[in-house]
Amino acid sequence: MSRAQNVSLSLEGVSISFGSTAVVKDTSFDIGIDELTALVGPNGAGKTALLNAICGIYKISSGSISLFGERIDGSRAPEVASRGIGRSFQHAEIFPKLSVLDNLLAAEHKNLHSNSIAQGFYYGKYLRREVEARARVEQVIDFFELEKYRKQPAGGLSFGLQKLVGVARAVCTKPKLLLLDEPSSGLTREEKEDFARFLLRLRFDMKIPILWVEHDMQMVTDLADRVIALDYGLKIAEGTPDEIIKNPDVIASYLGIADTEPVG
Amino acid sequence: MNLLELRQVEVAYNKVATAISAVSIEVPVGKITALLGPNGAGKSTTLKAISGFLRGENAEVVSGEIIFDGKKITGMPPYEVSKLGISLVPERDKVFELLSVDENLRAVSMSSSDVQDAYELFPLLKNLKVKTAGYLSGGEKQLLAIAMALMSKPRLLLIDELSLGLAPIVVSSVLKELLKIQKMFDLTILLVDQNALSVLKIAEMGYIIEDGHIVFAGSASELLAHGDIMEFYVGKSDGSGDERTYRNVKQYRRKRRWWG
Repeated sequence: MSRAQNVSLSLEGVSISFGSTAVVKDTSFDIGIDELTALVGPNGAGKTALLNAICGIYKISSGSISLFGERIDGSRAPEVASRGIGRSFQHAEIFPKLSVLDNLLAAEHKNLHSNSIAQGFYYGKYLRREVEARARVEQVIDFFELEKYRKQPAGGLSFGLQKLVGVARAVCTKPKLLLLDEPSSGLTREEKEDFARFLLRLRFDMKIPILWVEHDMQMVTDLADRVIALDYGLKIAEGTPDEIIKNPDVIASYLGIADTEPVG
Repeated sequence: MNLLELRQVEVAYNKVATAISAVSIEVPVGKITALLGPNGAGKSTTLKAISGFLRGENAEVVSGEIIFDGKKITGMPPYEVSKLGISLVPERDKVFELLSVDENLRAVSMSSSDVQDAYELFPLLKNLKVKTAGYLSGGEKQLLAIAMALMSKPRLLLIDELSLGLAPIVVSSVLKELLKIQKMFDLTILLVDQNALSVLKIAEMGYIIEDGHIVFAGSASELLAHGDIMEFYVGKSDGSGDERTYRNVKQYRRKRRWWG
């Protein structure tokens, strides 16, 4: 099969600008249907802007974005979500007053294709659907090992856990593609290992293609199938993790020599 | 000599939910002390208890005492704590996003010469003077927050999640800046971070907090030599010294924690 048939998300010549400032310039890449692709780059390189453009929060100024061959640029965020893109946010952005369970149910209800009148008339059918929704949310809670926190208001959880709830919420929408924005920042090594387990299961068992923004380069090299590096809105490198960590441009702009040089 | 001492501090939210209990921490003067632990262990709560920000969250210190420079500061409101010389760099909402860098600094300064001093200390911020703080990158924002915290000329600096969300190259430069400032002003710092390895390189003392209890305390080198801490916080298993890879997380079996 040619690569074109195996592509989930495809960006061609995408540029994003805020007024006269270009934050992403002429960036193109594809994500395969069974790939965990990491997006790395310094703070302010345009990683989050790119995710926002993919899920319809920002408008792109040129280029095209397609999901499974269909153009999604120009669509508004709710439409992009219903086409099957699930997303977690850098600053969690969960509903702080709702419990973890309700946060996830809110996302799962995206899949309830009925309005309140239909729910009134076809109560039995709607009820079955509601039961399914709850069962699915419980599966996701099991998957991410959130049982302990299901009844707690999400806003009271620690930042790392809030982000995990954000990822779980994205998974609840049954996405065809997942966008994760720094899901592991604020986690200890042990918690990152747990997260790595979830990520591998999403990739291999649930077979969801993932675009993953991450700063922990050890996680990236160990887990990602492919890495895309951005700097100042430009794609400076793309390849396997091994190629990326040896790329001189990536070392100069992003990695530094921090790992070998003792601080101070 | 200890600049700050927590003695058997217990904090409860809404008077019932205990967040930390019997936490005793000693922060020696002129040194960097690290507080490490998993999510939800009570690290931020500890910093909030010291800086007086618990009130805003309907929480309070229910027992134990916090001593700063020989004076009891338990339950003091944040403005009085900061007058004594304690500054907090919070985890989130650390700068005024809608103000420029210059306005941010002026908002917390006593005089315009203080702002000039800050620019001399952080030349990077001078170049960003008119930029809106909300558009700064993570590393720039962190430096601005540290510069703002230094405005009140604190003797003790509390930093929550120094390296959160920062690129690797930025983490090392922020750590270097911090170390430089610490030496320059002979500052005492209590640092919370997830990046155990790089923080323990600049810290002298370290505390591990889990589930609201201090489970391990010692010098940074003791912590780095401790098998369990390497296992849980750095990812190096006993004996081999090799780092485990994330790819084979399914294959290895974790050791039981030492406090079971």
